[in-house]
Amino acid sequence: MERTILVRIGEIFLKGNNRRYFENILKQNISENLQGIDCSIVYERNRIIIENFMPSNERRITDKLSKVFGIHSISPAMKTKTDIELIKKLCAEISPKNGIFRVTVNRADKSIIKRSMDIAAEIGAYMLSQSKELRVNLFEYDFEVYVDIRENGQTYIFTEKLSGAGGLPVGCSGKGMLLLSGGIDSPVAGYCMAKRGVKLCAVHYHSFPYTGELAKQKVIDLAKKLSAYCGNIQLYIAPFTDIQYAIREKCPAAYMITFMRRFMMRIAEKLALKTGCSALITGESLGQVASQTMESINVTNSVVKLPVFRPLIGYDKNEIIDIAKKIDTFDLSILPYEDCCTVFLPKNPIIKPDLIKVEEMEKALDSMEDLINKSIENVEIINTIDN
Amino acid sequence: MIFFDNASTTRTDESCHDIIKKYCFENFYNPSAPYHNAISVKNDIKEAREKILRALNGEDGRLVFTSSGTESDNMALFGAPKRKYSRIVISASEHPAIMNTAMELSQRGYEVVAAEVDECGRVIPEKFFNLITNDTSLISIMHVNNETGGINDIRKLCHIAKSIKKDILFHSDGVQAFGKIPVDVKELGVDFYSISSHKINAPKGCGALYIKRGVSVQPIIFGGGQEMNLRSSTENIAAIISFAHMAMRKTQNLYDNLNQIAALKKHLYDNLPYDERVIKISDENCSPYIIRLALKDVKGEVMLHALEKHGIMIGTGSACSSSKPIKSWKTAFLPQEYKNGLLRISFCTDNTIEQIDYFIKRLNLEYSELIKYARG
Repeated sequence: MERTILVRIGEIFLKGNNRRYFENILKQNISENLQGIDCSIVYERNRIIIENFMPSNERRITDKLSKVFGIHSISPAMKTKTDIELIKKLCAEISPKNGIFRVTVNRADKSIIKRSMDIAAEIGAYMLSQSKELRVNLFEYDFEVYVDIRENGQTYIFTEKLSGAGGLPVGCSGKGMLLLSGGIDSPVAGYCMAKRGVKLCAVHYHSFPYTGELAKQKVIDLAKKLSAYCGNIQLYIAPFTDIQYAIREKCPAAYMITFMRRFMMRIAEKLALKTGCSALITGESLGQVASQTMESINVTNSVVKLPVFRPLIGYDKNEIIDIAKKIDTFDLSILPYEDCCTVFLPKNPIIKPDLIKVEEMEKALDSMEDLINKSIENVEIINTIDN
Repeated sequence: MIFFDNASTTRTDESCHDIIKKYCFENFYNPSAPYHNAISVKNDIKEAREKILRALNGEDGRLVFTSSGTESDNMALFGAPKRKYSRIVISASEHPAIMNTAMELSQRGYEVVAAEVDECGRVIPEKFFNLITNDTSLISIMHVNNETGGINDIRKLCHIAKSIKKDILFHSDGVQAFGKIPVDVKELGVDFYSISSHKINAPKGCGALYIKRGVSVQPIIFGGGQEMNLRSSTENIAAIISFAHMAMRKTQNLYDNLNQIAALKKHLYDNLPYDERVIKISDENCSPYIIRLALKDVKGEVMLHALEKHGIMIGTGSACSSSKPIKSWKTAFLPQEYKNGLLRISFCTDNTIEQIDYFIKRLNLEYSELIKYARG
């Protein structure tokens, strides 16, 4: 008898012939996620079993696993050899001593002649005999005792099924470049795409001396929070001040943000192509601010060829905040350090820019390519997880 | 590297090195233990206490070592005997250590009122006296303002407050005053006075609260009964002894140091451009150790980062609160274009005229660069 953790695989089930590919990525992600914790990981069909860990680490392991995409549910379980007497005793031992319950048996080992229902009834009867405060109801119950009899002569017993993070294993859907600002939305956008299996790189625009060390550290900390869900993030910190100066000098103030965002998209795309990313990811939510109207998005989108994923486009602020709180980025995001977008914020930013006009105005920026290349040359690269 | 942020903290003086070493590696004993070596440490603490009391000219009072100026302030406000729900008067420019502690007391039912201050954070006496009612039990007014160097006339405020109501207790936060300007708690007439080690080139982690003879105070930390049963915790001996050492030294050299720093301030003021680009807020009555400037159309934070690039470290507001929205007293008198441009330059005796010259040169250069892109 020993403590184990059962991990059930989520949506990958659906993937017919590609299944092996998805599973391998998930396995890799799980072992990376549990790095540094002493335990062994056993891979079975449709599930993964964590064994040989210190009981004091159980909570830490389940916490970590609950953030790995591709996992459907997690159950801390007792593993024992398949012996009905032993199983009965264990069931009684690990269950609460009062309340309404049911026993569910899954019998993969068909060499056992008794049917699942009969075994369940037998276990239930034993448990009832051990405590007068227990009652059975198969439909409305306070807790459920699961007994999973495997083909290899081992049985797993557990009472809880913790929800996994769902989604697809990070990495199975390719790599994307997240524009990470330090606000509430962009980390959530990264989370949403990682959930669909996207491995993240991120770019942050830094406007020293307008934004200081604290603002930069905040973004690094945000990326580290995201890493709990999606593994290492390569974070590119791109200097942006010279570009802002150039725009400020040569373009109308009301269009400041429009031009800034066009530059951000261009730099992000260049970095994306350099690092093997095949999409850009932004935290834009339609109509939230002047730069996120349909017209503005059109004008900023038109400078890139890569697809731009905007998973929050149809979300309300409150819905975004709920996710930010869930993934623990909210408190960091609301730290009051300036980001590069607020530095030269015009009083009345243009809400519905016109693409043709903008392109015309942008011609004044003759040194555009140089500015972009200079920023890319001077990026600082930070890995959120040290290898 | 030029460090002009000495109001936030100071570099520990080299002379503390041997003290710290001695009390960490040799005389590391718990002063409450009964064997000889420990008792000798206990005596050293006693001596440190006496030294600091002497430096404050409060030898007949008590001195409780704490972990910081903030803790001393907390002890004074929470620990001072006061009638339930009575009035507590503070000033509008207090450090967060007083401001937020007073806010907590107001949450607990006390009536907290803040006296109006001038542009240097100094209490305006007439307005202050009007706040003292029959129901007032405690007053806390800082000695030197941590952001402007503005000096409150604690002696006058304390004497008049006590003439209005005899049993009022008067606390002053002297963290930016002690060791820098003359402090004589007897002459000031205060009941409590907070001081801190790391503002006078001793290590961080030690503060003290002076308590006038005959004034009682309740502990806010309970445990083994150290510090005359007023502040339990095993004593931070290395910091305490260093604190006393630096307190003595600072008091002995007080006027020499003050003259040196005043010369720095004068040099800065004489050489800063006399035009609309910068307003010199701290006036000649302020402690020369702390200077507040306001830049036109350039944010203080941005200038801070721009200078940082060249190895010059300055402050904007107070380091404890620079990320919070600026409270109104700081900028109410300033024209709009200057409100976001606050800088704090704060000196120690390591600073030189040459450093100020370099600072002014850089400030001018960075300013002319940054102003080009200022918000129009």
